[in-house]
Amino acid sequence: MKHTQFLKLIIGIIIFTMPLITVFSQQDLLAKDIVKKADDNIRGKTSEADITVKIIRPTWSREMNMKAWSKGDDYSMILVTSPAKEKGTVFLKRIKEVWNWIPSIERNIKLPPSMMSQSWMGTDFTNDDLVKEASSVSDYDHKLLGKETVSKKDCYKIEMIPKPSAAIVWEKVIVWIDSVDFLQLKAAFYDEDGELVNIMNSSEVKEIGGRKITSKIEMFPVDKEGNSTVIIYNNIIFDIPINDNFFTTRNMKQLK
Amino acid sequence: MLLKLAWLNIWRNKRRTIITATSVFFAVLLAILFRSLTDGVYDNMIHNVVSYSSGYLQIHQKGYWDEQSIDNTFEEDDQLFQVLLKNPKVKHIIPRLQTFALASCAEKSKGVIVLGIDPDKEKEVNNLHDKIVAGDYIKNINDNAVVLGEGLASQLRLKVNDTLVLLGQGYHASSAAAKFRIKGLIKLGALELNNKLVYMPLQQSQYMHGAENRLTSVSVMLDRAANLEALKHALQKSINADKYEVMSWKEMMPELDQFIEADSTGHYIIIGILYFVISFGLFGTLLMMIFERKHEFGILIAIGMKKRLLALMLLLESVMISLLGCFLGILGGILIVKWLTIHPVHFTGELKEVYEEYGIESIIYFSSHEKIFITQTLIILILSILLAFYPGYKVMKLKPVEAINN
Repeated sequence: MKHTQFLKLIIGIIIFTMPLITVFSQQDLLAKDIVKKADDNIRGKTSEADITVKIIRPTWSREMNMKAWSKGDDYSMILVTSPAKEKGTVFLKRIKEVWNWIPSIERNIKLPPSMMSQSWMGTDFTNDDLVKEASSVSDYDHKLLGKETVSKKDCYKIEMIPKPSAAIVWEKVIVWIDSVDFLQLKAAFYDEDGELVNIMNSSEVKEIGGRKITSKIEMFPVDKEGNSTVIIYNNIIFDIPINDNFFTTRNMKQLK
Repeated sequence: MLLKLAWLNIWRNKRRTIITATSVFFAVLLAILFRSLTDGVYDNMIHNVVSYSSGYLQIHQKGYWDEQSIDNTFEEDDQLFQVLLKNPKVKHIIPRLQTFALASCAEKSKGVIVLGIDPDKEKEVNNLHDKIVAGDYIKNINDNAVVLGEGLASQLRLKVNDTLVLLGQGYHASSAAAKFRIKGLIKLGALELNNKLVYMPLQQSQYMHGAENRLTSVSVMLDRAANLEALKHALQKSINADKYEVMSWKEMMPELDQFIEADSTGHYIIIGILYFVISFGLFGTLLMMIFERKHEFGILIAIGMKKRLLALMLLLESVMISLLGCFLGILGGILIVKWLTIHPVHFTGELKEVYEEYGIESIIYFSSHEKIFITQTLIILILSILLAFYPGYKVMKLKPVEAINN
């Protein structure tokens, strides 16, 4: 008799705690979904964009114009169109490889992994930020920390910790994703000592190319006051068919 | 009276006087030659190293030294050049744009120092064209060609007329990438420079880095190495201190300064031993003199000469002999150093090759700085006067009766 009572109790406990466990795992799943949704929102199947990059320093600033193409996670290409001195410089990401074509020396350089965390063209972005070698969905573990308001918008605050297998220099990244449009509005990057290194703000939500995107992205390195880099999307077209052959080292040299 | 007595006394025994004076003479001569030689070698070494790298003094944009980036360059400033050249101690000013870049060809690449230079100026100041071992020197400021260190060329397996690709960071985050024809190879003494340096006409370098009319430094060559600190202070006052910084080679290359300091400590020990030997030589002649003249001293005291005056007279005698020796020593030293500066000693054979390997001219220079003559002479003079107290002390303790009977 006692035995069955004990069993009932156990079953009762299990039945009672089951929903809690699923709620917890659901929450983790939810965090991942939110990040994925935000990632899909800006990435699309393919995209072709006109962008302006501004480097801002305490005593000077500089502006560059570029054209960028991307296809899924694996392929992207960036062509510098101005200033004249750098015109024709191309960056190509092909699966896990990154290439840089420099017309003035007629050389195509494959960037080694060690250079991925270095500054890209003197900006506050790294080569890795540019080509997004790491996927914010599959290379991180996600955890929902709660909700916060960023620039008057209700946001999910999500902590992303890189998986041990991913080549990512950050110890953790915290992102704020708008709960209505699912756009990433803010990201904070922490190094291996847990120090805040960079803050990335995305703003000026606009409808371009049939989608709502944040058309202005600003990167602020925390330890360098007065330094920042601004990327502005002037135009972007999503989901036009681009052949895989477009993203080849051969095509880099004839890109216009 | 005492002076005259001392003067007559020293010439009473000419041989003894001459021996003492000669030992002082050689002491002064050796000390002068030794210091002159070491200082000359150091000066020459400094000149060799400094003229190819930093210059004796360098003027930068304030803050450049702490962060040696192309963004800390300054615009070519005629007013600054004029102020610098107005100072009579400034012999030359050399504008340069120094940057770091990745040099590559085919499969190999290597980090290098790119030195944008005014080819005519460098030719005039350090005879750069004489160091070319293959090909030609850069013709003028617009020449689209580079000259690189022989060591660097062999590491990258490059020859004259090959193409060198340089990739670096340009001004205000622009990119700096360009191809150049290799016009010549240069053999520089300092190994580090030989393996790392690429010379490029200033205008080409400025264009490549997108830094038109900008310089990282103005090197200042001065008339005499000894004027370094004085000139540094003078220049600091005459130029805009909020905008520029003045640095001497000692601040920019502390390792060279420290090497010289360590090396010259060794020389101080050797010269200390030299002084020691000289002192004992002098002491020996003084002892002999006392022994020989004991009888005479005894009688002088016996007939009423005050011991104090006698001791003073002996001191005067010593000083006179030392002065004589020093005077001749300086004269000899000046003559020899003058002769050696006009006809410097050239090494031959193996030693010459060793020196040239290190990029130091295989010539021994002697420094003819007046400071050497004065200090060395003073040291010997003081030594001999100190020693001369001993006979005085002996006289004060002399017992006349014993001395006469001796």
